[in-house]
Amino acid sequence: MTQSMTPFNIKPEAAAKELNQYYKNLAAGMKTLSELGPISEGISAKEPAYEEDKVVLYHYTPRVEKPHGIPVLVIYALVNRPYVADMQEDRSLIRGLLDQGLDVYIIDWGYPDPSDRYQELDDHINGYIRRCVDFLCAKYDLPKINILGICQGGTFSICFTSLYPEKVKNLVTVVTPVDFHGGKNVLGSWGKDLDVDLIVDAMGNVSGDLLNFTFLSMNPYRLTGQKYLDMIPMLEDPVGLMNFLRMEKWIFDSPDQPGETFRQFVKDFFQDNKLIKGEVRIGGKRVDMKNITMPVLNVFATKDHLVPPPASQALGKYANSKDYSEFPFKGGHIGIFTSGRSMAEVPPAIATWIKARG
Amino acid sequence: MFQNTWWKTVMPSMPMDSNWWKTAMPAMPMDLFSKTMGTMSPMMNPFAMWPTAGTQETLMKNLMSSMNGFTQMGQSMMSMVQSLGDVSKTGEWSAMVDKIIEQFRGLMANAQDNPFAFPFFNPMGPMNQSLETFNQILAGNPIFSQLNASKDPSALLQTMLGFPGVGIGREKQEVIQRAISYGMDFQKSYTEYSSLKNGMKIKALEKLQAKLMDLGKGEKKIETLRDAFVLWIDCLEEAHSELVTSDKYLETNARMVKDMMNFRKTFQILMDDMLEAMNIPNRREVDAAYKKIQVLKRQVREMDEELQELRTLRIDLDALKAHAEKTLGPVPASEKKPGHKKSAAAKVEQENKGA
Repeated sequence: MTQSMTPFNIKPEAAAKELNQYYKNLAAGMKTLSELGPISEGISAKEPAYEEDKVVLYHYTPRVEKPHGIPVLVIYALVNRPYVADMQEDRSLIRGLLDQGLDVYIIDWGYPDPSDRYQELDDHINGYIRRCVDFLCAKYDLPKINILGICQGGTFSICFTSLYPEKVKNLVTVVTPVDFHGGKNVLGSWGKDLDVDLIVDAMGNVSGDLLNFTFLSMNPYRLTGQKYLDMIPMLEDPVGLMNFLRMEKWIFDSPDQPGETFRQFVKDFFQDNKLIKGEVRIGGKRVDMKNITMPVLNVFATKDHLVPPPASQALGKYANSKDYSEFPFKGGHIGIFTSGRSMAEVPPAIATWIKARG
Repeated sequence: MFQNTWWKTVMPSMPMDSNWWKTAMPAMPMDLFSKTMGTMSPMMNPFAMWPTAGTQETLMKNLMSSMNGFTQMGQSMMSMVQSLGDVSKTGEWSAMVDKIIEQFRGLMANAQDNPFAFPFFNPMGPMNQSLETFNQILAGNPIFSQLNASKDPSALLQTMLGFPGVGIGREKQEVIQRAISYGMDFQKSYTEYSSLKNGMKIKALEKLQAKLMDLGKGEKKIETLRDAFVLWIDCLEEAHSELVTSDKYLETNARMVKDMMNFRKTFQILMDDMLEAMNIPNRREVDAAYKKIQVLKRQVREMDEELQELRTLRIDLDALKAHAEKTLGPVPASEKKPGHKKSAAAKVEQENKGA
């Protein structure tokens, strides 16, 4: 055995002081926690513009006197809640877009319950999304609107745009998977061999808790251990603590997934990667990305562990747009919504791009 | 997951006790996993007491749990550092870690040979009890008395469960046999899954040992308890990442989930039958109703949209008619086609004339 010095240089007094400081922070934190108040779900003012079943189309209150003439419809994923894009004053993609003068709407999918287990992708894309788009077209007396899809919502946006290109003026995708086998993707490899039919037949809706567990399992020790220890020093800072708790609330605020939607999405997209093969059928209609001929802006995160860049960049290869642009953001899948740097870069990039195209 | 008693029995004063695991994972994701997949629910376990509902993890509980583990880790580290004594004998500390890993590895190897050594690998609580109860039920049966003497008791049991049912209750019997068989499959695959996870922890220990050796050779040292903790977390995450992307894990995980779902689905059949016998609506009936409702919803929306189209067409048609009448004059009654549907206003006018 090679002799080596001990790697520890911990003095007992310093260690005791360190532990003591943690406990002091914890004790002080009790007071801060008790005075914190409710944790908000999004900070930008909004009102329901259209409702159908549990789906609500919200209109964010414009922050300029004359917003851009063509509204932007944000389509978020079914997994997690959309307020991650509107988390706090200085970390809000939505606020950033509103400040840039865009007129922003968002589809809130709500919380599916067992009665929604037989909802399919058809109901979401040919149903709810199409009717929200038709509503906006009628409201603004426009033939087309702008669409901004986030993550799985971006995949839905791609499907919708492929099926109804005549209704979409400009398409923006943010951290959106297109090639589900592109790049190293832990989630994809986990889902590859799962018997999804059996899971859905046995469970019905797939519970949000199960999805939470799956996401935690990607980094279980950091996310269930280290994270809370790291939180202790910030307990005395109400602002920092509130920001932490907002994220904490969002992370575990996972709606159940309607069974049939989950079945089709995992089988067709994750397992069989049918989107890039042009084999996805939604409500009997084939999704052909070659129908995407309008301008496309593809925003992706270079250190995205959930949607690796190749998975996202595949859109450039399969869409038929002559005006295809990419915006790589140096950060992760969540950081693109919550980091201070992303707020300085992403909303202006999106807004400038949209305004330049009418 | 291993039991605390193992460490206490085998390594009473070793620094790397089970609190390190607690430090790293206070929320015990595997329990949440079990709960989420329904293995802790009453439906999965007819033999044991109905388990109490899981308590909601509060923020303070997580924090306290992390702090408790961190504190205990700190105390363990302090006693370890003190026991190291003279730095010229530092070779002993790495030998100590070697010994711990070897002992743990040995324990794992021995337990694997015994397929009924479930408690060591199976933290499923009520599921353990159900299997134990099943064993007790079978113990007095002359056919199954040979079970323990068999070289492969699992295979023998599976063979017994594969016997066809007879009599009026044969279908129910076969469903019960299938449920128990799936339950055993799940036990087995979950055992393999847990074994992989335990192996991962050994790898994490080895990584920690290697990193500590490297640190020992270099200038940089671990100055704070938090640094030690983060190093340990890094080792765990590294080992975990290697495991969960391996083909063996993916295959085992998929098989375990399949076995769990088969078990759950079959048990649901039994539950539904029981509720049906008590004249209480069950999952099967409610799902059938939901399915019909969803189909009806789609039909109603389709009709609604067609109706809206027709209304729009009707408005356009009326406008066109009005324009035509204004331009060309009204259409004579004799030229109107039979069966022409009068507008509401025309009907009222006609009634008034009649009056």
